[in-house]
Amino acid sequence: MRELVVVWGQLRRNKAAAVAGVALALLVAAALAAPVLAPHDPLEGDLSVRLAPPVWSGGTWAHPLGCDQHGRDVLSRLLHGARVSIFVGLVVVLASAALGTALGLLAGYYGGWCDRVISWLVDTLLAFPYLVFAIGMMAVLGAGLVNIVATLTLKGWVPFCRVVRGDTLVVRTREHVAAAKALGAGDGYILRREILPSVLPSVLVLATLTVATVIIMEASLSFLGLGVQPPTPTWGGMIAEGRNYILNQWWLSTLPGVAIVAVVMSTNLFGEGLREALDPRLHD
Amino acid sequence: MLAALLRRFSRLLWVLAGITVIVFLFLRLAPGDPVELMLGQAGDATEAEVQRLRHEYGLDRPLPVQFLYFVGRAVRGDLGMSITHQRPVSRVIADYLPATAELTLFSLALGLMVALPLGVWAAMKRGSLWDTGGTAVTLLGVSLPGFFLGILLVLLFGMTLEWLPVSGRIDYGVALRPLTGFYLLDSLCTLNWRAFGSAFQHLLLPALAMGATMAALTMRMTRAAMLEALREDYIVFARAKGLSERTVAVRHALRNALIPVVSVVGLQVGALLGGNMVIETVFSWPGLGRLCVEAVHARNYPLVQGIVLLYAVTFVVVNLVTDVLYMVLNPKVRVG
Repeated sequence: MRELVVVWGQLRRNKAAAVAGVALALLVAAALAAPVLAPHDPLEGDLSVRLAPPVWSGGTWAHPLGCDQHGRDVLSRLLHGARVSIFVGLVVVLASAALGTALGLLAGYYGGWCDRVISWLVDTLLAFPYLVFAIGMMAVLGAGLVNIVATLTLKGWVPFCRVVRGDTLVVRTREHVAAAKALGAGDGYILRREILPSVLPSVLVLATLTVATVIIMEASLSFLGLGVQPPTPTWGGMIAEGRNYILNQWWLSTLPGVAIVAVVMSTNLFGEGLREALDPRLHD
Repeated sequence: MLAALLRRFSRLLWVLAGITVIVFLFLRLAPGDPVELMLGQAGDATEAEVQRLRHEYGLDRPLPVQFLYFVGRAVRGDLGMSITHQRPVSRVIADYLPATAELTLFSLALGLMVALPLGVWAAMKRGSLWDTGGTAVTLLGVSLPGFFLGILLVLLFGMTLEWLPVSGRIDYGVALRPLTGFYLLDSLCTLNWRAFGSAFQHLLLPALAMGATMAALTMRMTRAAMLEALREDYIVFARAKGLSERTVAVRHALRNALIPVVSVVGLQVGALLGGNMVIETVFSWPGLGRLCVEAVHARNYPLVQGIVLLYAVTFVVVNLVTDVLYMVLNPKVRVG
């Protein structure tokens, strides 16, 4: 508890991380409240307002960020698109962190064949660039939300496993682990109660930074038409659809792009702040 | 160092085996019969033909035997037939490879040319406005997805200012005798300056979009490594000798700072390889990345399989070269 207070204090002192944290919280809240906040149905088009400009370019407050080529409200689609991006980001990171942490603990704690097999799997998957692997898998599985989550998790656990294995190798030699063993504690207990709490800070930092990577991956796949399929709004898909109108209706592609940059930048800043807050060497 | 190198090589062999297993499973996991996929339109082939191919590719054997068949063929460069091209996958890949290789290498060179001096500069001017500005640009570079940056570049330099072309590798009507498939190199070898200018202009925007993240990360790493190096005792000694700040930075600090940067650049090649799938699509670049995306949409699984295998093997080899370079550059590893 005392450590949490220290970390919270450090985070609050880091202005960039604090601002990023607030921005992220607002974005997540906006995504959750999209059905209430969105002024229109994101799937319903009205051809009479097709390609209507945003309010600062002569548009009306009825559609503050304008409308797309099907007359769908851009603001509503952005808000609903945020749900997809944030959902994929969070679910993939949670699943990857859980899988990677479990395998990393096993590899680091037991060593031997268990470590060799898991490390071989890690090395093999690391040989595939993330997007190349994702595109290959999406080719096999087909587009769709569940398949995106599965594909990104299949590769996403690897860095977690690597970090946790490394930390476990160090932690397992510490005195408190030896003491637990001497008291007759089983492997499961030692892994859960003695080692896991020590590796969790690294997992937390990596998880925060991985959300940004996953959001970019999801957007890239949707941009290529391999992600969540239209008409469901996604930021990557909106950028792809708006490309054909880029010269005269630049906002169609630019606004979802700005949304991605805002989320990714906030996540990166917050992750960096969290890393600094959790690293005692960087404290005053 | 020899022992470390041997260990690295043996790990590489295991990783290559793992890559082959995963890529082999790609085609087996794909919906539909592998032979029908290879034939494309299954209706065009007779049952006898399907059975003949099934036997030829060893698909009537148990899965482990099939895997050995696959490895044997892959080693000989036989990755099956591209469904949409009705040509061997290896030939199709060979046709598109130079465009991707040229773009990736150009992007890497461009990124390094920008990132290394700026990283050194930011470290030397630590805490100044330049440094803060550089850090902000780095953060933006890391947060901008390549495809979005590509679209912004198209909008600004291609459509609004009309300074640079936004698609293809060379202008229509510009003749170029192909030698290597690398347009810059071919035009230089044939002293075709018009083609060189056109190819260079076509490369700029996609290379910028592809290399921005790599450049941002390399700059961040160079700055951190330079700051670390500038704190070392030998730097204090070099300064005490009265050497200029520039000589201290470039001749003494940079040499050591570059060692960790080499590792980061090696890892970033993977991001470049993944990135070119998106960037080539944005800029209609006739390379492997765009071909792969088209192959996915066309359910041309053998071609996807071949390209993914090539990318993974390339990434592994690049990382091996990086590791060897790291060992050679780092005296601690070289001597110890």
